[in-house]
Amino acid sequence: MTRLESGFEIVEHTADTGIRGWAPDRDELFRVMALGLFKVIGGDAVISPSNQRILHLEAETENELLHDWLETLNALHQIHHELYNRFEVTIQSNRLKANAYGGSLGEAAGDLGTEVKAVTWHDLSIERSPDGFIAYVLLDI
Amino acid sequence: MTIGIERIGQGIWEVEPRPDARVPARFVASNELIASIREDETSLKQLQNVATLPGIVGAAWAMPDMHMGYGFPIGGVAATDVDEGVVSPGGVGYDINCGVRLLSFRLKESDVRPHLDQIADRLYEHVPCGVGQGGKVRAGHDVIERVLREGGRWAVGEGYGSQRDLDHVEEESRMDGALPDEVSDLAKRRGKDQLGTLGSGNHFMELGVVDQIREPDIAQQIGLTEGQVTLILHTGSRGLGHQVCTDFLKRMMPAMRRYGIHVPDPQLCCVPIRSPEGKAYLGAMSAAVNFAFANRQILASLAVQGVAKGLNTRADSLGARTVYEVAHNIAKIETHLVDGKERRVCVHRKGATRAFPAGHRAVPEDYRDIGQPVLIPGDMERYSFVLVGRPKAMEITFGSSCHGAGRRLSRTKARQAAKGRSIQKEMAQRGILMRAASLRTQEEEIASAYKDVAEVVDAVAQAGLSTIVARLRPLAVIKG
Repeated sequence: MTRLESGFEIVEHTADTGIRGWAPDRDELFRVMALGLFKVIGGDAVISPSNQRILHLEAETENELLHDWLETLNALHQIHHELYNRFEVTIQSNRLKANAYGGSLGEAAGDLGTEVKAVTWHDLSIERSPDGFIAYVLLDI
Repeated sequence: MTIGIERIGQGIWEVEPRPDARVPARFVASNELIASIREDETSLKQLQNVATLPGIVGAAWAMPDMHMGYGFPIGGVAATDVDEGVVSPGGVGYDINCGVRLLSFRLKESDVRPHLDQIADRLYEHVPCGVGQGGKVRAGHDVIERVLREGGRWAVGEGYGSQRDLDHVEEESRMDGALPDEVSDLAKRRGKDQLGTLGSGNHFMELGVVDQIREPDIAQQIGLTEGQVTLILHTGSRGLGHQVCTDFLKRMMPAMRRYGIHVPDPQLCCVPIRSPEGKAYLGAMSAAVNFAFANRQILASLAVQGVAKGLNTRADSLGARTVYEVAHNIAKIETHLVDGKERRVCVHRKGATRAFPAGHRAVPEDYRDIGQPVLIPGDMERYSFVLVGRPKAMEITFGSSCHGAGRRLSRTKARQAAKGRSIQKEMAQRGILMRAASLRTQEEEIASAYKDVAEVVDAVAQAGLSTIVARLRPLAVIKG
């Protein structure tokens, strides 16, 4: 059996932007979805991680946990004016512990992307297969 | 599968109903716009879904700039009975009270053209924009509470603009019924340094000129003359409003199940207006509405200062005046005639503009003979329009009209179309200067990424919802 390698892609949408991520396990899936979110926000900008944010989240469902994970990262980005580019994620049941590493927006070098208003529930999904996990979210830009 | 539509009047179409529809689903469009609406039928499906909301009255409506939204289509209008109906955050959207302000100046194009570079630079310096840019106002807890209650009035009290501005803003820049305690701490933290910021994406500031007057008498009463310099501002409630919507979608989903309400799309989640959750949402939404009013009031003041600096003169010598300010993502309790009877309804406008006609008491006194100005921005390279509301809008669309052009290309496709070109240079060759925080935004916002807004305003004019008064042409554009 071939396990999925992990990765993400930005999915075209007329008015907004989607992220599709894939990974062999759920922890890795949440990590790549976070990378996708900050590709949309950070664009081509490069940062040196110097700050760490610790997150603890709990949700009733897996979909809700993914939604809350990305929403919380977007809120932290706006409140602290930071971009994050490295994540460590551990999920047990629907409890998530994570470290997000990033740096100040003011020190980012290169062209930034766009603000994300919200992570929507529209077509939000996590699919399991014998090879791993695939998730999709649509961002309101 | 193609969704059936039928033309039922001049520029008015009806969509085939879902079996569980409570009212008809109708939209406004010219024959020319039907093809672009058909390109992505998700918006038609969303309109069908809106027609199933409990307590919806009249019809579910969509404007000719309709496109896919979340729950509601962008361009959607729905009125629900205040006693028997629901309120849905999806009918307002994430960017609560996203809206448009139009300013006019006692200046002609020839006054600003020689100084346009300087003006564009100063506007860009004065108006924080782009990803993560905070504003100059640092709002602590007490300030945020006041902003959420007082809206633009707080900003005027702090020296941003004057009372005359507020007279020309919907709700006079302060929505009643705000409940700041229903706005989460997280939302307040997101908003604490976002007052007086533009944001990114399709939000913008544009110095322009009136290049065409279609209704001279109305234009004169609004105070617009051909060749006059104008400024348009398009932004909303920033992260604070986005967080309010996110918080309430989460809070309402389990509540909706408790009330036994079933909707065809989770983003259409809703609760009875009279329920504790419904009252809490309307209170928090009104607070976010006020945050957006204050944001635009501050930005307008900063913009006038920027124009003055660019011209090396004093701000009070420019004759700057707020023509009007509209909200196009909002829910309001209003009185409308439904089947010949007056009813109190909650009108959701998601990407739709209030368009009250002459004589309505909510229209400012000095505009009451002509109707409420309706401000319709286009793309950054072509034109924008000023309209006024007409009685037909009250009769059929709960006093609502369109709100903008609507995208036709994804951001990726827009960047592909812009590849190898300098959009900034191309615009400069046509006499339009652009300052943008990001090259990516410049490319994503090219004119061809949007529908022609002239077709959209023609459609609402043909349907009798609004009258086209004036067209504005851009001179300098500030993008996030």
